[in-house]
Amino acid sequence: MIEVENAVKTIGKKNVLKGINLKFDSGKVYGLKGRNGAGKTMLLRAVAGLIHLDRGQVSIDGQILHRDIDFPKDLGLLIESNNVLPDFTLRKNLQMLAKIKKVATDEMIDEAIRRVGLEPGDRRKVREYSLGMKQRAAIAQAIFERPRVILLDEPTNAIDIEGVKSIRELFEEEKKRGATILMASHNPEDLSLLADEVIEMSEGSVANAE
Amino acid sequence: MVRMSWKNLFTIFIVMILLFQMLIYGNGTTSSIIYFGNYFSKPIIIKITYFGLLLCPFTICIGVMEVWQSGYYLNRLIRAENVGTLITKTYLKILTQIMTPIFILDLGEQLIMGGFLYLQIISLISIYSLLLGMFLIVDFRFGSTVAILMVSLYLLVAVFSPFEWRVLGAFVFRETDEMWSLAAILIITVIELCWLKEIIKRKDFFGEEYD
Repeated sequence: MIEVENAVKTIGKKNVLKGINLKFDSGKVYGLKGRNGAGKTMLLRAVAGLIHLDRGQVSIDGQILHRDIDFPKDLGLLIESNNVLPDFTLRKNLQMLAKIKKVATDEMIDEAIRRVGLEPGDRRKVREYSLGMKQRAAIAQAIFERPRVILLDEPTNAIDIEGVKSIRELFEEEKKRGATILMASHNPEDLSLLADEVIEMSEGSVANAE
Repeated sequence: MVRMSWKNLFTIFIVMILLFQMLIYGNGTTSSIIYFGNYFSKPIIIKITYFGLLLCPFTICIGVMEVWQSGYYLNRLIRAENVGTLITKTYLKILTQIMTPIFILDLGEQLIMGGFLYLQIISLISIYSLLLGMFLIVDFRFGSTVAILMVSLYLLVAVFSPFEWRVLGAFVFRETDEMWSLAAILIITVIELCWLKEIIKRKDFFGEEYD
């Protein structure tokens, strides 16, 4: 379980997170919605351990980030553009990432690439991919190690309608596997179809939780 | 965490060969050791050429730390069990990039002169290790521009310092057999790496864009 307690973060003079309190249970999909600058991505970064809170804490399965652990131990992340290196094939990219934790086999890598609708044997470098294919590649990168926590920022951006359907199915499968998915999205359909709970954020605070 | 840029490395190597050649002609002889020559009494143009030769390999470091904010590097960072190992690997990889053209030039010179001065090699590795640690710390805190300015300042002092400063050994680019200076540089470099690890652990990674 992920627990965010009284999370406060200020950048310059702007309070990007204003005392957020949230709990995320395992095996559920949580949608984050809100306008640009509402704090959705910053909340994802806080959960990923990429920012240090001014006040409050994030704990994952009882382990407090930046006190007990530097980063969540089992995390898949799609939070930025350029999630994969453009000068390598997607398979090579994932193989390089896999060397760090050494949990993903070549078979798992190939399976993840197929699940996002791409071909493991594709010899093209990622820079030759279309925008939608790059987004699929980024999703493959987030799921290929079968992490317990998956953080996604606008995961269906630039993906065609058919592709969006299969990506949604993929997230459903990840949820059934027991992964906790936090997904920031501006797409109401993504949120209504996938999320067990939708959290609306506004100006760094939780405005509403449905 | 750092990819080798062969194009940049090749360009830097060509520039270094040119500066090296200019120093050989400027000295009027090939009998002196280029990297540890006495340039104090030489014209300013020679000193500046020497300064350029020393600084040139550092240009390969410019911007290497900025990529840590990109999605790919953040994904590597969150997967790392041990940030210390990650830092050490990154540091060694950049050091290899810096030292590659220096080794080629220095060994080439030594072969031409007919000898192998291992202390010269050790001194060069030591001083560039120290400077790289300083560069990375400053780069992470204040950015590449401040880091390269700081390294430039250090090298200017080394270049314009009188030869008598050789008591400082490798600290001011002097070939040295004084083990205390090499040991001191090694200790400072280890401290720099530990410091760098702490900086990364405390750093906020906002990424290339934030919402």
